[in-house]
Amino acid sequence: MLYQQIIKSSALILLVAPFAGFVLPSFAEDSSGISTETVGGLQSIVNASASKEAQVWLQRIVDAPRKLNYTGIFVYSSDGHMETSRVVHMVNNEGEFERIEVLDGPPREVIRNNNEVKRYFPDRKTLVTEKRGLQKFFPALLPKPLSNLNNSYIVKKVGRERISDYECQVIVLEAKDRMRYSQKLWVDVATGLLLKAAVMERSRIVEQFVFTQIEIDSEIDKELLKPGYVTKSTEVNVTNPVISGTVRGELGWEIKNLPSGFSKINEVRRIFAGKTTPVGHITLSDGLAAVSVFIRPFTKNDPLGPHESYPQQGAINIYARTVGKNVVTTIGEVPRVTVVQIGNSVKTYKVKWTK
Amino acid sequence: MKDKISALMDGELDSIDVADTISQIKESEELRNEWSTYHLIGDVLRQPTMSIPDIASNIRNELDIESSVLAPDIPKERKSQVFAFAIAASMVAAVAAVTWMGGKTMDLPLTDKPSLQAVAPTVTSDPVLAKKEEAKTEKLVLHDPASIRINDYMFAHGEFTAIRGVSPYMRTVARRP
Repeated sequence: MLYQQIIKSSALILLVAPFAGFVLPSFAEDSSGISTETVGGLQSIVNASASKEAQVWLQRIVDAPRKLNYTGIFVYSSDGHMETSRVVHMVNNEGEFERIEVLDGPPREVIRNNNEVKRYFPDRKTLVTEKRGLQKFFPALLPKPLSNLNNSYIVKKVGRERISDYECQVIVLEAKDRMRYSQKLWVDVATGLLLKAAVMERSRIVEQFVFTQIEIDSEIDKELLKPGYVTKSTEVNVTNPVISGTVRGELGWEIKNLPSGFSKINEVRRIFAGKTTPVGHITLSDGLAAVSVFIRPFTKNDPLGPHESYPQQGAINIYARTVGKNVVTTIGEVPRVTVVQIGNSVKTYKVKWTK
Repeated sequence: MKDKISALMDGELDSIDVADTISQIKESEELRNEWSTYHLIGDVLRQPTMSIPDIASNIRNELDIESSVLAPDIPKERKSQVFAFAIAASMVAAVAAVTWMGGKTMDLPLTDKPSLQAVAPTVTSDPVLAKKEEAKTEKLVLHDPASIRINDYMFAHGEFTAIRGVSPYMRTVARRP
């Protein structure tokens, strides 16, 4: 009752007034944002060679895990929440193998054998097996990472810092606008391994991971790659997700009004575990950040209203809305405004939901 | 209805009405706005140093800290996000079933069956009431498949991250508070 009475009083005006004031500075910053972009464009020409050198470092980051053994402890933090994990990573002539154990809270584990990923949740008595279909079957569909980066980021080398006793080159990818986050990367000078990374929104850290201890190029005991958790027949086993094929350009959906720098890199149809209806999956990228758009038919059990918001999870934002008789879910490691703009730009013409 | 929202916020609503009121809030934007506004008022009133001139500057300061938004339809979104967080913060004990909000979706088992474990136990001695309670709770829990779906989506999306850091599964593993 109290709240209602207050609403009726003039207090409401006091509460609303600041919002009106908020609109103006926001537009003012808008226009300065555009001029920053222009300056950024000039800077990237001036710093073209520095940027090129920085890009070589980025490529090293991408390549390093495919060639190196390492074991270590890393801390992942976001939203004031922190979690420590142990990673064992091995490469041999049979491919890449990895085990990550979460050391804080309920035990969880991820075991990866090339394209097969198993996730263990002992407290929930659940094992989830996933096959990463794209890498194996559709290598050409994978985005070429780091292409066209200069359209959206100012890439620069900013000096050296020591992380976990390794000398690291620091690379900054500074977003040219607010439609994406900036990233700061600490790369081991000797091996190219990424030892620390921060996703930033201007000066604020959105999420961060850092190795607190790591041994690179060490001999790996294969025992360390085995799950610490034994599956029992009574436990839930799920295999998920499977890709059903590529349908480039055939989904019948288009995304107009993409934020600058983003382009479509991929369009596939997926079938997830326990589902028979395929889900359309369109992927967009600005060369660094990726955004996925999932489109599926509305079902009668759907909790969704016309729009649905999800809290941000680290750098990931999620936005869902209904379009006709479909639910369009947009997910990406980009600011909220970006998933909303992309989500709202998804238009349909004709959709065939056949398998 | 407004009385009920007010009572819900103060924890004075009886347990049967809680589920019902939440689903109504979810379906009506007007009620969601009401909910947000009540929280805003409540927050302002609870500030120990509150004085009228300070409200404006406090809110303005808070807004300055927040990132500015560019798209014209953002204010609407902002409200619903406020709504999501408000629910998460104030309802933890009463309705654990509100996991569809996404806050705890990261490590849900990927089954399509509504998980009744996710529901906070309700204490009632009246069998008729209990049954009614159960029916309503179940309706709420149907949201679970949505979060499972989000989980699937997050994982499928993970394949496209350009710089994966230590592992493409870093975020997949992470559990949120």
